[in-house]
Amino acid sequence: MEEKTVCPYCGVGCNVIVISDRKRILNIVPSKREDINYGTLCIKGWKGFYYVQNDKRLKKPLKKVNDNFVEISWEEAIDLVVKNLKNIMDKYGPGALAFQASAKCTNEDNYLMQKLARQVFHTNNVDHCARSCHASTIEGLISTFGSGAMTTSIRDINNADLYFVIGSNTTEQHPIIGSRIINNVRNGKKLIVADPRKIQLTNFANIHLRHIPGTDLALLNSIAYVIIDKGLYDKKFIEERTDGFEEFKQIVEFYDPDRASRITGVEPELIEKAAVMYASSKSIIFYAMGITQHTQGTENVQAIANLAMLTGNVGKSGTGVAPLRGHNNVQGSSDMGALCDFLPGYRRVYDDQGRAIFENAWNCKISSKPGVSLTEMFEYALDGKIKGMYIMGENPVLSEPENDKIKMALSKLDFLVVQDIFMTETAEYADVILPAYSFAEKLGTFTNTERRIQLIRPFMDPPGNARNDWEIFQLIAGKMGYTWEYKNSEDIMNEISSLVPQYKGVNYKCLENGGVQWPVINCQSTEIMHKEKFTIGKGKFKPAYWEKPLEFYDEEYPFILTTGRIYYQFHTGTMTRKINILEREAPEAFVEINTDDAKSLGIRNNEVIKLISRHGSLDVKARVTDIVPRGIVFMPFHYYEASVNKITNSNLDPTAKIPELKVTAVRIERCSA
Amino acid sequence: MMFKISKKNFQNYVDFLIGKYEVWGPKKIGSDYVFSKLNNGQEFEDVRTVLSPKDLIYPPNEKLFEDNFKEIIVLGVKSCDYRAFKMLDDVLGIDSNYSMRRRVVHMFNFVCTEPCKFGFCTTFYGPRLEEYEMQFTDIGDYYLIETNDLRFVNDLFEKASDDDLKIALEKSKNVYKKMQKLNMDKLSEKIGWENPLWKEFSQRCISCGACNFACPTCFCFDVYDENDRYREWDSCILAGFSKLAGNANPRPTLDLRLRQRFLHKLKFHYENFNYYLCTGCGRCIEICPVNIDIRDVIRSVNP
Amino acid sequence: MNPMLPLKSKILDLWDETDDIKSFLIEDVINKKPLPGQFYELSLSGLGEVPISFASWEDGLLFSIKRAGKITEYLHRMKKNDEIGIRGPYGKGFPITDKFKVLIAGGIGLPPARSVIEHSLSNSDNKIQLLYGARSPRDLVYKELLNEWKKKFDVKITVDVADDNWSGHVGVVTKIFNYIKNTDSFFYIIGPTIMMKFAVMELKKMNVPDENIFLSMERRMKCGIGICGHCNIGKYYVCKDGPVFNYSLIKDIPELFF
Repeated sequence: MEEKTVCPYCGVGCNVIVISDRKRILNIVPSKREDINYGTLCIKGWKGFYYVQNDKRLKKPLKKVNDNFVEISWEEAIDLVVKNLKNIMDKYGPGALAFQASAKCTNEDNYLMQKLARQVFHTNNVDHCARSCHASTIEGLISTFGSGAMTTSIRDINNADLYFVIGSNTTEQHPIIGSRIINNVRNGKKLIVADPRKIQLTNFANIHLRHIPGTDLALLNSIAYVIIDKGLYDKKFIEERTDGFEEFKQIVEFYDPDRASRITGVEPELIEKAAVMYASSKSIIFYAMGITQHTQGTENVQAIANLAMLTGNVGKSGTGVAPLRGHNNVQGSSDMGALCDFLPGYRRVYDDQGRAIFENAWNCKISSKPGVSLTEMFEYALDGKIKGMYIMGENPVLSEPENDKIKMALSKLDFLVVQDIFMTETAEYADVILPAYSFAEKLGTFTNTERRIQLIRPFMDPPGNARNDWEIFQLIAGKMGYTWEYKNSEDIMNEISSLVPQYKGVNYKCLENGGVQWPVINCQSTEIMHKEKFTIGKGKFKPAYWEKPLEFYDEEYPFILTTGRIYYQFHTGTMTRKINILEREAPEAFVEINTDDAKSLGIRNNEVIKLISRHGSLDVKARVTDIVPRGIVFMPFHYYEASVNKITNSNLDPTAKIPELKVTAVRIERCSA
Repeated sequence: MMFKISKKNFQNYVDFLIGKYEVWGPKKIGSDYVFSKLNNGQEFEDVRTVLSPKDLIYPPNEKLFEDNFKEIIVLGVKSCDYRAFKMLDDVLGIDSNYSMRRRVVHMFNFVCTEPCKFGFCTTFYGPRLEEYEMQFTDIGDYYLIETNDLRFVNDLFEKASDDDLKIALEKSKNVYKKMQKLNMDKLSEKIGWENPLWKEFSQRCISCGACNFACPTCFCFDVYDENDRYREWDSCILAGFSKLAGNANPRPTLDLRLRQRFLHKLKFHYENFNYYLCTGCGRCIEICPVNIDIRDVIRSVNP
Repeated sequence: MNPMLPLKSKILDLWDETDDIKSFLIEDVINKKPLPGQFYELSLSGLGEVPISFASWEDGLLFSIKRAGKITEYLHRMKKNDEIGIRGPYGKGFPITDKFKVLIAGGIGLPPARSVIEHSLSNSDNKIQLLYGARSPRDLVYKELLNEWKKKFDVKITVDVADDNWSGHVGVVTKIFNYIKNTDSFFYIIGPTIMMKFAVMELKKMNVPDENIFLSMERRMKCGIGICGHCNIGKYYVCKDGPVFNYSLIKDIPELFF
């Protein structure tokens, strides 16, 4: 048999046709549809699906008995979960519970998990990994444009004349968007890359700005300075479509290229050249974690929005702001309100009108106080304020900063439920483990980075007694006395489309042919947002001064450690590390260190070295390379054997609560020394 | 032997086959064509698929010690893809799974009468084959059928005349007329280890491996153990393909790996077997996310 | 039968040679006399296979294996009588010849050299010289055997780094090339790629013809039967056309040494 579905890795959302016999995958075929992957896939698309048929899939519910897991029935599992969560709620109040949703699960799953948290367990303590990737995008773009998503479409990339890529290693993390950029640049379009590392895109860049991690805001402000200084801004657009330009102008005035150069390490001439080039072309700005994972993540995102408004590069074809989403459904999980401060459709929990809609629909009271964010949940658990946790399809033990703290937090909980497809580093700490369907067994929807709601269809039989995530929530709600009556995932989508304005009127039928991009109007896509006016009405300039990151290089810790992902692995490797070829290509952790730095420290390629930060230390193999500049080291976070998040800092952006994973001060020692 | 079948009856013929065998063929899924199991004759369309049917004889991922091989019939195989199996036979012929499937999977090739967008098959064997199981050519209201295997002949078949064959030949000539033929003159001797294209390609290659996976003649595989021993299609574009213990690698950079792919097709395999490991199907060109084109390599040697 | 299906065998005996090299005597369930220089695929169910040249064949197949990756790591933890899969022998070995043979072995290159030596000695052919280089005295394998061999033919040993008890040669193996007695010999080189590269360079300086130089090449291998494609060197498949190559056939291939 054959099914159309969507790749479960990054946010590009490549369309594939899977041929299977429901027990094993027989072949993977990329769809030739032009709007997304034009008949291509990256290596994760070609090779990465096979984890679904891995023998290690969880097949039965498990409970922990004397540090061992024993198989139990679903009935017992649900009883245990309900009994324990209810006890905690009754004893300590709903605030003692926390729910972690998952960007790997469908919109329907996420919608029901946050509904379970809010309706059944009366808490806004529900959040997901967007907190550590694009929480600052949501805040940053909502405050400027009114909507926290990519303003344009993947296909519209072809219509731009210039691409400004900052803090995104696009060919590795969003390869099929990266290759679209390369193809366009080879056809004569222009490319500016701002990244401390010599990433593959720099092979094609007209300008490469190698700024120091954590100085993005100074760089972006300086680009704005030049554009204003040279009179290259779009006066008409600013006048008609925006507010706050004067204040913006006053603040960026501090960032003349000379001054910015002293902060960022980029030559002033390059900043000027980039500014002129950006302002004089139809441009799209692409960004990812290099912008968002900072204590000034929100301000960074706003600075990007400011630039787009300043030059009128938003709201028309070939322009825009493109946050690249790391997970296949991190956009959708956010849309579904799997966030501690937002209800579905980005209604803030303290917005009385918005809350009333859901209180009526769900027949319950919802707290107007934002819940505890993902990054704070573990602090709360350590402090004993959170006693019970329910984690779906996530692995915070590896993905969150300061791993050891997360582990301590999890062991302190009275009760932990983990719902996943494999045993994970996090699941080890669980009291009950619930085996769930993978994307291969589900009917549902994912929303990709360009806001496209796409159907995924089951092509495999579920392993053992595993169950659909949303069905598990329905069982729990039922046991708690809430009768949910969803017969299938489409019933859930029907409820979503009646409550979430962006998804208005969406049903599975209108998603049949390639999905639709929200905001959906009569089952039709909005390919380009903010066309006539911004979602917020008039666009708002949100200027800010650059502040030195709370950790920066100093005498004691003279290097900046920046973290990220690599092409062959994904997130904490729960999926990719079970794929033979992906694991073969990138089997072990490494830290990139500049050739000259290595020389002066006497470090040889492949030598194991010690990275020491204020938060901990780890041993890792050195990869001596010129990809990183002097003073900066880069390490991927996929590996439990050398988990970089043991030593990253957990300083948070105060608005978005996103940790500053991109800047940790470290020092380096030779192990043998 | 030569037969013909009216297009009207062709669907019935497919249904007849489906009654007796498992039948696969090109099937429209959304806007794409893939080889899949046909449930009825109506589903069949004679259209070039995204991937060749290589997977039906040599799956992308399989248990190495498989012993269950189904007899199936594959319709709508393009001649380029069919020809590729003859090449794979020379290498994978000693492989159990491959040779078992080769025996029980029947591939019926359909001759192209129009050139496809990226193909350059006329450089090699062209759309009509000399060796086949059953060769179908669209001659208007009929398909001409050439076969020496009477197992799949059916009452719906009519006698074909020399005129029918003439039309078929004329139709395939059309492809020769419209398709650019590349100059392969002594290419395997002339193509050198050094070529500026390797570096140029390596700047943009994103190591997806699609050129290997889409190629009907690429045969390299990796073996790994889970609960059983498996093998899967491998890609010489990946660093791990040639990596040894201790991270030593004879082909440490992408340009050297791209070189390996092109030289294997255009030099090494020729030196071993006296033919190029390419059918000109054009799939690697079409499927490459960044437009790396094997024709550029050929033209760089023989302009 | 599936040519990639290993036969069930077992470890008859095993012992340490050095800190990271262990010898394994494995029951030869295939019962086919291998040619010197050939290799086998050793198979551990659930882990995978590893190609290893055999060192000796008499009471069983002897392999001396360095801990270098996932599978060899696991092998080193195995015990006597443990089950192990085996298939082979594969590839082309060293030429069997009446000519004088100079064996140049570096590190874990000695075990395959041993197969050549034993083959010659068993045919009463003593026209052998062995030049053996190791990292340090601790890394020398077959110490007792080396002493026995010294009684029968010329054996020269050098180490990269000496210790207090070492009174022999110090330096890379090419440092003891001045002991080569007869440049009209066949030269069999087995060792790390860098060592082979320099050994060939030195031999060329001594005007040894390409045709008299034989290299045992190492490449990633999976199938062992010339179909998986990993071990390509130009048009050759190391598993099938090698691992032993006459230098004249492969000398122009740019990725020969790396």
